[in-house]
Amino acid sequence: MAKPVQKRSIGIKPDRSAKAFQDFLLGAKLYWGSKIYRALYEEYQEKITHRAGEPTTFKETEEMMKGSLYSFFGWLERHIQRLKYSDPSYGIIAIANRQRDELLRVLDEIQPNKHLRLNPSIEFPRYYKAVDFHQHPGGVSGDELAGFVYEYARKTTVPHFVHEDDLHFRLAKAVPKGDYKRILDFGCGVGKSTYPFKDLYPDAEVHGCDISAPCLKVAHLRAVESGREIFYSQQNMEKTDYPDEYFDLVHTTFIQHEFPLHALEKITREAYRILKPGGLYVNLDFHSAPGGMFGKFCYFGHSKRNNEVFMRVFHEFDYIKLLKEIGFSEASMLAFDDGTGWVSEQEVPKNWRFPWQLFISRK
Amino acid sequence: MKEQVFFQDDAIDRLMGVITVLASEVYILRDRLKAIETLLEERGFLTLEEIEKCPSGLESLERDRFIERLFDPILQRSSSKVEKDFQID
Repeated sequence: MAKPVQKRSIGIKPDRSAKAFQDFLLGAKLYWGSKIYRALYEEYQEKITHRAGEPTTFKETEEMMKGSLYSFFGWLERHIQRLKYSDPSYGIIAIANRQRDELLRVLDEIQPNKHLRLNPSIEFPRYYKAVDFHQHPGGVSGDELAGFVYEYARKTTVPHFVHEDDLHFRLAKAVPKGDYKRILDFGCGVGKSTYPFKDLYPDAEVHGCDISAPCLKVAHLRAVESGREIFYSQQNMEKTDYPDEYFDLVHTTFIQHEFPLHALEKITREAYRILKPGGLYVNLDFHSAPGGMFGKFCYFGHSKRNNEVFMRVFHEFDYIKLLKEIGFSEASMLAFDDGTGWVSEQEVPKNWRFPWQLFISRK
Repeated sequence: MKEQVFFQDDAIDRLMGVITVLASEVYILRDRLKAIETLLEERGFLTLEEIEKCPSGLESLERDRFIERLFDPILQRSSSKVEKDFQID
């Protein structure tokens, strides 16, 4: 297993006050995701006893839940995240701006090479430019420092009480073992899911592609710092320049829910094209929220409150059917333990969590 | 783009913004105060009088930034966007 040869050199470094502010928000988020979430569930249970049955749609549930507790629940979900990025003094973007010169110097030193292919003339799809997903102003390509910002922001995106990197190692371990010669992290962002695969399969040629150059630069920087040889390239997942049947394993990590269906179909076809016959396509994503209507209600609400506009569409979409139509011989959806324990389909999680699912398909 | 509204009276949304920022500022001050107290206890060379007479304090720019952060939520301006044809209910 590759061992880091150098400590992480540079990144977002909040001063004492900004660190305390971000810690305050983390505390608020944990409180929101446990005590307020549980109180909301109690209220839901109370309300359905006064009706003929549970509501069946998100809108109906939202109507039933109207009241101050749901208002506070929604407000905190939206604004804790907003403040995390956008507070003008201590938000991550403000912190990054104070370090702008120092961070840009590091990025300027990173020149394209065989381990980092960049495409300055790449065209961004309309859906990518039009939505600031998870309330990241300008998105993960909108500013040269966006990769550093996203890298830091992830610390509080992932589930409660779980270390942010642990999830990616859990993914790598959950993928069936194989003699993988070439592996692709498809939509790799800042590379968090690329590294565990390189560690588990050190002899494999490991690639990562993403449309965001700022993210790829950070991914490349961390790979170099940790002594991992990884080949990153800037590409639109809908159409890449990888040859046909090039990879033994292609994997994605929470990105499917960010696409409109027309793009998802193109991306899935592209994954099929670049996979060898018998190769695996693995997606760790959100689908089929547990917890019955209450689970769906929280999840669908999250999609609006956090600017995740395609989340609901993917949740309702028969992705397995698409995989099979495209030609995958096997495709299945498995529950995934994010580190907080397994959750059965009808069970309401004790704390708020994403509805993790692992899709495993074979070409 | 206008910020989402969660309360029946959107004055509460705005007030929540004010209160949350104020609370965060108190939290930051508590963190800093704890650091100062710890250092004082360890080293013991700061006196209350010295703190009283210390000329260093918040600059007017810092004051204005604090006031802006505190009251900006009243303006309900979103800092992230979803363009009109991508908005969902």
